[in-house]
Amino acid sequence: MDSSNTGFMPLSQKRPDITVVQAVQWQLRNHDGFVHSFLSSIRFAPITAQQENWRRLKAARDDEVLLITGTRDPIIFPSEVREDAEELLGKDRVVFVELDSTHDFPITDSRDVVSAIFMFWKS
Amino acid sequence: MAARRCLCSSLQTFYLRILQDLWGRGYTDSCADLKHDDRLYSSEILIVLASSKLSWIGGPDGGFDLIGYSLGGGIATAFASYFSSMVRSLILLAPSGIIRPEHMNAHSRVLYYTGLVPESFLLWICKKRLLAGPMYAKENKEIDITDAFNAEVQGDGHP
Repeated sequence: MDSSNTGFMPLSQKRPDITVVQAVQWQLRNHDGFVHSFLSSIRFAPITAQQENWRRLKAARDDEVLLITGTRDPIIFPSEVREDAEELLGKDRVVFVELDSTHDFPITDSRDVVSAIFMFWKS
Repeated sequence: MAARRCLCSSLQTFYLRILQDLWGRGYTDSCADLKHDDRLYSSEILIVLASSKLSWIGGPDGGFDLIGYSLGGGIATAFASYFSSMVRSLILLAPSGIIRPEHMNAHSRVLYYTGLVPESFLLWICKKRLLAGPMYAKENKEIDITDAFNAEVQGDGHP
């Protein structure tokens, strides 16, 4: 799939006629609560400084976490998130996968993501 | 939200799965009067599980695998840390949560956090910005943390 053209990427196989952008526009026009939730999430949702959650996670369990990132992601930088995750959880507890893609790789590279998940589950 | 659908249609042959629209997205109502923090979002996961006719947390091989994308990654991390015994495995796709603070610029800080900007104006300007169409992320170094959300809601994160 062409990862440079997400605007035309269908929302799902069940709804091939709708794109992500169109779905967002629909929400903005029809869902009065959307912008409220959006703004409140920017302010309060776990975006940054959630080290405490990671530490609690480390203490609560001893398995590995699968961390998939996109090389060209302009928001979640692979090297940074890997370094921080490994520091917080332990190097041996992070299975790191990097795909040659941007932030929307779960849509554009879904097959690669699924095979990485299957491999993780099998291991 | 959209990404999960694509991904999950690939997983559906083998697994039972629940797709969750976060508060205020899709057909899910907003809790407009509540802080959208990890507690509220963790509660939503519990509500979603409780709404299913199947048991997702019982049995000898109990629990479920939790996949979180972007903001969902931050939420999934929080949930798994609080309700560890429910979560069989944790998978994070470009997760939020530990985005380094330097990626958040002063402009946004004033806009969203100081309370100096009236809420109604903020809602209006935010809606207008989003309605204008996809916002393209600029150079990596100039990325503002709020672009994470813009990218998520627009399905667009191109450099």
